[in-house]
Amino acid sequence: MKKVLYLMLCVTVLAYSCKKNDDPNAGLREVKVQLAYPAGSSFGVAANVVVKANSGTVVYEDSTDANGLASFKLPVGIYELSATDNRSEGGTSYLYNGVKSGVTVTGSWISTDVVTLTLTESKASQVVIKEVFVGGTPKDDGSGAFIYDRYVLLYNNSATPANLDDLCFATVAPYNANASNAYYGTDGELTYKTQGWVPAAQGIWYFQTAVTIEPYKQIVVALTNAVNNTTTYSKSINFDNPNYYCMYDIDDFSHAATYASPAASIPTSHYLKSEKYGTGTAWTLSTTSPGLFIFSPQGTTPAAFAANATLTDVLGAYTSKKVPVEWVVDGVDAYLLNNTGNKKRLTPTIDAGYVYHLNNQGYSIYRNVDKAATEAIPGNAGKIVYNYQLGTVSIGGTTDPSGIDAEASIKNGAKVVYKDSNNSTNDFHMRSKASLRTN
Amino acid sequence: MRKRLIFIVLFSGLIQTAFSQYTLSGKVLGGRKQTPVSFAIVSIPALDLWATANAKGEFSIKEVPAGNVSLTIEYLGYEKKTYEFILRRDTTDLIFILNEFNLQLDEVLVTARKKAASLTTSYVIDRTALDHMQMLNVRDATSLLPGGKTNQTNHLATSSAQPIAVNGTSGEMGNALFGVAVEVDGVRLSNNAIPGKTGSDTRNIASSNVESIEIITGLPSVEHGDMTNGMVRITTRRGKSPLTIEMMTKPNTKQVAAGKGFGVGHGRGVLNMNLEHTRSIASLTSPYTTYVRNNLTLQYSNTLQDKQRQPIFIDFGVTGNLGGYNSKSDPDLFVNTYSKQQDQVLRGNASFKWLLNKRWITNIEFTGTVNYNNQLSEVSRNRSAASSVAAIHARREGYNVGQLHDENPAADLILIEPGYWYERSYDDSKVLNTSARFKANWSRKWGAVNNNVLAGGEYAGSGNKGAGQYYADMRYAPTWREYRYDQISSINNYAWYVEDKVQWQSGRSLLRVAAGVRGDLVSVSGSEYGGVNSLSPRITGEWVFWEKARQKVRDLSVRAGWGKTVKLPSFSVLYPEIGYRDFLTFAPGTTSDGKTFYAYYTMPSTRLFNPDLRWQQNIHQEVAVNANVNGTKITLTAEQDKTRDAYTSTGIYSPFTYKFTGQSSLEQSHIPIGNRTYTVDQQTGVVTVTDKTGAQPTETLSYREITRFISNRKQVNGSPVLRRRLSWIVDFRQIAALKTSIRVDGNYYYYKGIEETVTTYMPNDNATMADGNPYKFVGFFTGGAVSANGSVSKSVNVNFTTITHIPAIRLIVSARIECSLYDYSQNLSEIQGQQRGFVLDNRNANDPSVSKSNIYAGDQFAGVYPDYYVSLDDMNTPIPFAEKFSWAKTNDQFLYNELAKMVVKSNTNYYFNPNRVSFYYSANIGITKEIGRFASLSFNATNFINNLSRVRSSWNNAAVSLFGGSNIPAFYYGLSLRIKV
Repeated sequence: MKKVLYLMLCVTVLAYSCKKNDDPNAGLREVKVQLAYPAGSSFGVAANVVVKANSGTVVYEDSTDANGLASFKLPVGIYELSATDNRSEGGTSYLYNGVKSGVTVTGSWISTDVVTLTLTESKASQVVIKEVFVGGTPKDDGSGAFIYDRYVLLYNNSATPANLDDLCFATVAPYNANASNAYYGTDGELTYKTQGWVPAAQGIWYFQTAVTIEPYKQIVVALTNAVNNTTTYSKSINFDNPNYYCMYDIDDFSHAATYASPAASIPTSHYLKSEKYGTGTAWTLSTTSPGLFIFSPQGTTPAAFAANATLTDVLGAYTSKKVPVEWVVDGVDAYLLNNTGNKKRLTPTIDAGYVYHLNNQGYSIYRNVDKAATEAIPGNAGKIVYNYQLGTVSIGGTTDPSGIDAEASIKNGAKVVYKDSNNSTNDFHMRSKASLRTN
Repeated sequence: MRKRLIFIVLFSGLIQTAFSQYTLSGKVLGGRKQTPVSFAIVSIPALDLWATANAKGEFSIKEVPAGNVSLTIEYLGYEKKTYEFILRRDTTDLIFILNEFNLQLDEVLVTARKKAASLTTSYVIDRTALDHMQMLNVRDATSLLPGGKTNQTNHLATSSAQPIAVNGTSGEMGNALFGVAVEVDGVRLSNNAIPGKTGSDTRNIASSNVESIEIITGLPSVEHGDMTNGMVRITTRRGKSPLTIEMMTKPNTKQVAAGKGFGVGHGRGVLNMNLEHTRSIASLTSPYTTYVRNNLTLQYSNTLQDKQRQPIFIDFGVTGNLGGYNSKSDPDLFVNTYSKQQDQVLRGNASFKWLLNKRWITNIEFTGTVNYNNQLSEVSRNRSAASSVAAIHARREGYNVGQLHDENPAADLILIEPGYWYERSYDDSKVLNTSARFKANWSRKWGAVNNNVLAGGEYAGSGNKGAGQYYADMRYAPTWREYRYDQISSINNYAWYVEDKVQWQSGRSLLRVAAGVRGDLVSVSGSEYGGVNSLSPRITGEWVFWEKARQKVRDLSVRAGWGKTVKLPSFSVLYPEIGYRDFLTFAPGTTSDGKTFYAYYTMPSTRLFNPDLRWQQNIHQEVAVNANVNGTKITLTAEQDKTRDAYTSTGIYSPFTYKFTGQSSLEQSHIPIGNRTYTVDQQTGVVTVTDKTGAQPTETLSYREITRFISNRKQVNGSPVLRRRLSWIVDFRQIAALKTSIRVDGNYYYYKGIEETVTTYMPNDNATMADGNPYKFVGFFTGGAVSANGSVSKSVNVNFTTITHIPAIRLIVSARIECSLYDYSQNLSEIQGQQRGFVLDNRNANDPSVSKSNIYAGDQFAGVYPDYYVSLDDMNTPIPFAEKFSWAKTNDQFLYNELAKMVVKSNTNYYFNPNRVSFYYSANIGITKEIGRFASLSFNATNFINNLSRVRSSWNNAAVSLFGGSNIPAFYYGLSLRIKV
């Protein structure tokens, strides 16, 4: 009899635990987000601005009403709120970005509570980072990835020539997005966000000679091993090209495996120079989740800027220089795919979002095409190639929502305008094959 | 208790003179059937007299002085017994019956015991305790010391050695592990010929064959030298014993062992043989990386009697071990990549002890030992490159340009061609330690005074017969230089010592004093150090107020000791490996097929002889009190170690100029890249390009000169290190009704090490200044260019152990709680007791704070300036740093920016905060059950409650889980079975 009673009790408990919850909104909290535009700005709140709430695993989206208010129904959790608004006036493109991390929605959340998301204003850049390839390519013998074939493509996203005088490359601290980040204060915000600077860790690189990029053209900058890597690694990159640039300054960075003597075809005038103020024999741009930005020093030279001891910021193992945000030309903040420890490093004015990245597979971080702007260029008609196939959605990554195959279009004679909203979430995707790969 | 001792002594007759001598003889019987215990050792330790029982169990000791006699009888497998009586006449009819050792005895110890009648702080762990704790590595035994903690490494399959720590830990200054002496059956496992300054690996010692382990934390006899941080003496099984088969299983380790001791013919001695196989895996999830121990030990002993009945005890032992570390079968590794290290051992010992018992001499003893340890390691890595890789093998100073292996296999600079290859490297270390010892003692008794003089000499040699590092295929050998251990002279040490022990009895009181001195002469042929002498005086004394008194305090004694020990230098100190600095001097552009021809300038470092180098030494002081209060035994020991002259090194910088030729010099070349042949003048570094076709004339390339510092290492003596320990053991009287006894042991440990040696520093010797030139300043820091030049730590660890021993059912159950009551540490920055460095107002400041001065005030950043610096422009003029830096701030921005690179700052604002870790504990249980007379089963579990609590650190106010941390061992368990046939 006892056994029967126990059995009935178990069945009852099981049945109750399997009971379907009929209310789809059960457990959800209403969260209102109010966008706040910077004081003095020509633009203010408007309808249909997309606001995102990212839990780390799920991204919720809503559009603002005419008062700039978005409304979500969110499960209890911790969210990162973000919004990007792109406006134009007098031929100048203004970007409004905002990010607010660590917004905790608890069970006691009151639906009348409004979270204010403050936007910062920036302008679109003439020179943009078109592609970042740092993750390495699989070796032919199957023993892992070859990681010394990194490069960056800079692109002139305008119709006028772009001068790269004194343009500097910098890596943000910490190197990996999922590393412990001591720059976060107790309020959950980056401490330098309100101070108007961003840390350039370890050292910077810059062009030694005057470099100009023609409209809608790119230059290749090999970050490491600027040789023909494909003789050994068939899926790797061949940098043996007289038009390419490379980072090579063995007085500062002498790590032999990272800095082979560049291909003889690359003129030494194309070698970038470094200024090192941290430690290490190789410049560190993360292979998993790079945080890269380019900046142009104002009123000083790269060497003088790097030497200035009063601009040094030491935090833990990182020695950085404080780069004023207004100097920054472009930046991209990458997160490691399938990792919950990622944290933002670049501030909203530079990059209000992030792009997922996965290393060791030959994938790159590639900028999305501004479809409307590209299609609007006279002469592009019939040259634009659609049906882009190199996205990585199938493995959890991203793709270019424009559907335009930029590289194929360029080969076809088109002039491509890339998306530049200072928000990597909108501007970049993870490409399944770095554009300089031939195999 | 069936096996009660029957001790029949018939004493009669009158007391003759105090100097009368008599014969003491009798028979030793043992076991259930009371059969003769042949080879049982009967001794009178105070007089250094001894005898061995013959096949009939008979023994005889002649010329024993009249008076109080303390007689000890012991043998493998039997309970050790001590009897005290007054000898007044020849006594020839003694019969001793020894009990077989098993859990039916009333007193069985599963903890460390304080060594009886020892004049130093020494603990002994017997076989029963080792079985009960399921020791896998002899270093596990240190957990049974007062306040000891269970070892957190629960397997043997680590890629690095597992040395034993006694006084001090690996994180402390003063080479704490290097200073520990380890002996197995008198064979010293010397670490002097092991590359580096580390302790001896103890994994190759068969744990199943260990009979007892003595750990001396105090001052050892002058017989023992070459140590500063304690001594471990391991004794393996010897004597007759039944066939014993042991099996042990732990999650990571399986062990099977068999041992037996048997007579070799009639009266021809006893041979004890032990065989052990142990296999340990590194990971349960990937059980392929292993450490294997296959150990065979043969131990022969015999006693020869001459006509004058002056016995000679001879003892021979040989141990062999095959095995080591191996990851080759790990499928997680890339094909044909692995790491292996052999751990092959051949250990031998031979000793002859002759009891002469003359008026002028009592015993003489000869001992010879040899220890050979082959630790050949092999590592296979897969490599690949997209362009030529420079592999520099040059050993002479000068410029070298790369050559292909096919063209010149002996080239100083080989260019490994692009592609894929395997790099198989070996490190061949074959340590050979030998020793020969002679000692003699002379024991006399005058009335109430016993005097024992010990004198002896010792030779010990430490060498290495290994070839050092080498590669299977030189075509793929990376940058590397041969450093053959077998071409380094052995370190020979000649020692002498003399010691006098006096014992004086007055009524119930007893005074014992031992004073001695040891002299070591280290002979280092082939080294500038030549021969170096050192003296180690030691004195200890004990006053026993009374023993076995019928009063509340039954026993009471006080002991004190002072002495010096010396740790001899290792290879790394005497023959530091020559370092090579290789500067890239020519880097032509890489061809399309990945080829380039680098040139390097090689500068060998110089071994700088330090005529003032002193051998590392330790001054030890100790005071101990032993008491028995109403059956509760109390031991309290206070020790202090001050280690001086620890071996360390510093860099000596000197300027150096070389020529660099870059690709820019080739851009104007008229010779097509495919036709170029590069040559570099070995002395001048000037590069010329020749046209292979002869179509173009030879070109000499332009270059730029670079001047920078290079560093040579110099061995120096470090600053003193202070350690203090207060240890206690309280063994409460057994609660008879529960058959349970309780032990509370613990220690208070204090460590302070401050390094005040002035060392040189460059912020980054590969860095350039703002003007593009190499960094040209060298700073001199007292205590080194580090935020903290030392640390202090204090801890209180207490262990509570309950032991329930039920002889009737042959069962012992123990539970032990290991508590950390106090765990404190703090980084220090000091010079001669005064604060070194200053407070920074924020992490980016370079100047001392105006408003704050105490770096220990909490939550603030701190900085250190060099005392002074020198510049490449003038190496002979030291410039005070602080003054110049302050001046440069307003007068020379360039200098200020460059000098700022030498300001050393703490990484965090809590770096100098005290670090108090909150209370934590772990609990172990052990059960040993004998199943009849022939089987015994033990189960042991560490951290059996799987403590998952969190501890908080006051350093940064962080809380961390004990799970997976470094505070307590992980939950772990093991089961072992012993069968006697």
